[in-house]
Amino acid sequence: MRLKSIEIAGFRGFPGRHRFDLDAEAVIVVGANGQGKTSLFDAVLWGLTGELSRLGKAKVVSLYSQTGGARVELELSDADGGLWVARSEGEGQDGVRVRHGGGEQLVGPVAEAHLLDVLWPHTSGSKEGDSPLTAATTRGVYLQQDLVRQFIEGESHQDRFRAISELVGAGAVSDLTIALDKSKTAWSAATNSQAELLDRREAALRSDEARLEGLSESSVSGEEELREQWAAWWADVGGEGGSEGAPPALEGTDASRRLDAAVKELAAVRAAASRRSVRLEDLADRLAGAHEEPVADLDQLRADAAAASEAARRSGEALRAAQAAAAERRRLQVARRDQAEELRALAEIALRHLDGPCPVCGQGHDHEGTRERMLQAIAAASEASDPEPETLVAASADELARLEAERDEAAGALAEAEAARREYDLKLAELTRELAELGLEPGEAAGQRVEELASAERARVETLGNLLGAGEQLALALARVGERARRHELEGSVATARAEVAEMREELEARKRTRELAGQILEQLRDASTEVVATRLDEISPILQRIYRTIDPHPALRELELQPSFSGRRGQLAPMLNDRVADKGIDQPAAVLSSSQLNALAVSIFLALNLGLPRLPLETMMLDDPLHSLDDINLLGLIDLLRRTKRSRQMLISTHDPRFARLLVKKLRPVGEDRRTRVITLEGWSRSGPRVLETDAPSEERALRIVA
Amino acid sequence: MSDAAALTVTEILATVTSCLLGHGYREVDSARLGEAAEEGRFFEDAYGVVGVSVYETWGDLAGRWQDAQGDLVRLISEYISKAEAKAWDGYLVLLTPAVSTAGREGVDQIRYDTSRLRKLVADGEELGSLGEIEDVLLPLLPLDPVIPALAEGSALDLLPELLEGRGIAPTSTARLLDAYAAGEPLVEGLHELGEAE
Repeated sequence: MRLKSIEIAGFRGFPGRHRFDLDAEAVIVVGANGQGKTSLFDAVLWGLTGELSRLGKAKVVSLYSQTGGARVELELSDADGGLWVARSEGEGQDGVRVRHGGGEQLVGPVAEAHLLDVLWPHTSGSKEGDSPLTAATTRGVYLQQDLVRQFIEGESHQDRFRAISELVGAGAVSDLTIALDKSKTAWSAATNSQAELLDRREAALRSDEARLEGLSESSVSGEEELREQWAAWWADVGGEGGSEGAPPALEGTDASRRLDAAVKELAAVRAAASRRSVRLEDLADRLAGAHEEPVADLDQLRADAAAASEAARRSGEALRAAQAAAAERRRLQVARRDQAEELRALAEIALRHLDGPCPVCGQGHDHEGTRERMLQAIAAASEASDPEPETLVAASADELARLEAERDEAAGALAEAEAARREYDLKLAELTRELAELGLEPGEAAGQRVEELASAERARVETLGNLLGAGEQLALALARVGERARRHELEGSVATARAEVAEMREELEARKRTRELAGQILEQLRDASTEVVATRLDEISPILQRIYRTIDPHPALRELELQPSFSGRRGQLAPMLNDRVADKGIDQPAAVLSSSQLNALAVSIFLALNLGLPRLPLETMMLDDPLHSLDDINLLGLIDLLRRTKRSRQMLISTHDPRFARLLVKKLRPVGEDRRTRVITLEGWSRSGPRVLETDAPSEERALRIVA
Repeated sequence: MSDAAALTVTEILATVTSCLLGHGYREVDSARLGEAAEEGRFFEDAYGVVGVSVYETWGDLAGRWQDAQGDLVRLISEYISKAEAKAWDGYLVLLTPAVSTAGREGVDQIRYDTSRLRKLVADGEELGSLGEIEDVLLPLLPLDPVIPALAEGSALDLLPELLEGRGIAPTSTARLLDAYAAGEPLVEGLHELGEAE
């Protein structure tokens, strides 16, 4: 990709609109300082990348812009028919538009992405610092006047390594490493899921194998025989009144269930028959012992019981009367005793106050006589006795007890006789009822008939029992047939599962091998990135040496190499100058080189990167006044170098020195047909921009002038 | 060929001639030299005219280099007018197998004399081998054979060989790169290769 033309408007030193024809091998831009040389080169950079990090946050729009905004349009040529890029800022439609070949116009982020894809496709995803396209352009294409020595002096070894790493496309290796790492992580997760699935399948297989082992291999009767047994059994069941509806098919899916239901029903019928048999036998037994009628005379017993009850009643009344009389006597005795006691108390009190007149009426009295009477009262109280025991009441009570016992005994005998009678009546009624249920009349013949019925029922129970047993055998046979079928089916599924598990194991092992391989590659890729840089630097080394020796900035330090070193996975890059004669070297050129020599070194490295790297955004080198402080020999060496490279690289070079410009025109003159060297002169800058004079350097049609 | 310190004038001249002719220069026929000196050889390519003089001693070089310069200037002016750009593309190569008796200063004094023609000077100290003779001629030689063509490939193209040296089969790396370029799952690509193998 080479530059064909550029149109600038409102951008930095170009307030007005200017278009420049750049379709030449070499373009020499001449102008005193401040005429717009750097602005022209910056316009190329900004047009392609949208960035001018050298200016920081300063805007690119010219102070005197006639539109209030900045706009750059670039035309570039390549094998696909050309690239058109238009970038603007501050005009209301900020951003970039791109058209590539005959394609449609792209706008905005899509355009930026396409631009990056066309110019610098092998970039890494790193977002540090300048965009990748800007970094590649400023390090390998556009040597900015203010930043000539940045690579040598302004950056650390690590920064230099990173810069070269990006230029040689090692960032793509880092991107690949990241992508592979993500892919491996996803693969591991999927492999682990498959391993878990395999575990589950193996567990299921083991379970099936255990089930298979549990399924018996017992023999089953022939199918035909089983079918006959089946039909016969169902016919017998129907004959016994069980299982309504057509018998199920032996092969039917519900055969087992229907058989189970029929057997249960048959069991219920048999149980009912068994109960009926027991009842008949019981009836027969009861009929055999049913003629013993109770003999007790109930009327006599009732009369006896009544008489005993009356006697007991009268005795009770006598007892109560005796008890009442005794109670009255006891009451009287108690009253007398209480009175005596009260008199005694009075006497004792009176004795204490006997001296003097009567405390009651106050009259005098016979003290001795009174004392005597008091003492008698006290003695009389002492002699009062408790009530005597009542012998009459006891005798009445005894009599009553005896009569009551007799009464109870008579009542008990009566109750027992009545109960016996009732029981007899009930039994008789029950037997009559049961016989009636059987359609029989009570009598001697009934018993025999019941015996016959009981016997028939016992026979039926036995028949049903046999039928049940046959049904269970059928169920067993059917279960065995089913089990054999299931075994056969399970054998098939186990075999299939074994094959599937084996296949899964094999696949899993293969996946693990792949994962391991991916891990090995990943491990090596992490080191490969630095090795790529080292390899590319080896490839660049010859041209670096050639350029450095051609410019030849230092009389003794005549070898230059960009020496990578690695600390872990961190790369470092130092520009090493060597004196092979004295066997000395230095990785800090600024320590020994003069300013002019450092500039020459910086230009050498830049040219080596521009000419030596396998890919650059443009097949162009842009040197903005690179000749500050270069001495004459370095200058001549540089020019001799440049003239030899313009077949391989389009060259844009600016200078403030008219004398040097004339030299450049001579040295970089077009040689041969279809060769062109353009000269752009910028002068007389005003608020509308510089005056521009564009000419073509005269070409030399005949290259060889002396040799015949 | 003789050893470092023992290079002869003939060897040096032959090396210079071979180098220039091998890089596209053509030697000027003696019949066209006209009034040019009998010593020295002259070559031309599209970019310049080169006069080569090899002297036996430093003293010869120091004493006669200006004659050689004059010879070359006359030759150029005979065929190219002063107004033409190529008139300013003369280069004088001054070599001697002997060590400068004036030290490095003597050599630099001639080298840094940029009047009329550019001088490429080297004495015995700088001409220890045939390769060093070519180093002196570097400013005259084209870079084109050294400049690699801008490649369509990327750093990823280096990986198969790099990783093979680290024990990874090139087929595996190639399959990985194919999958990466196609946007396919990377490890799956490796797996398919393993299955195929």
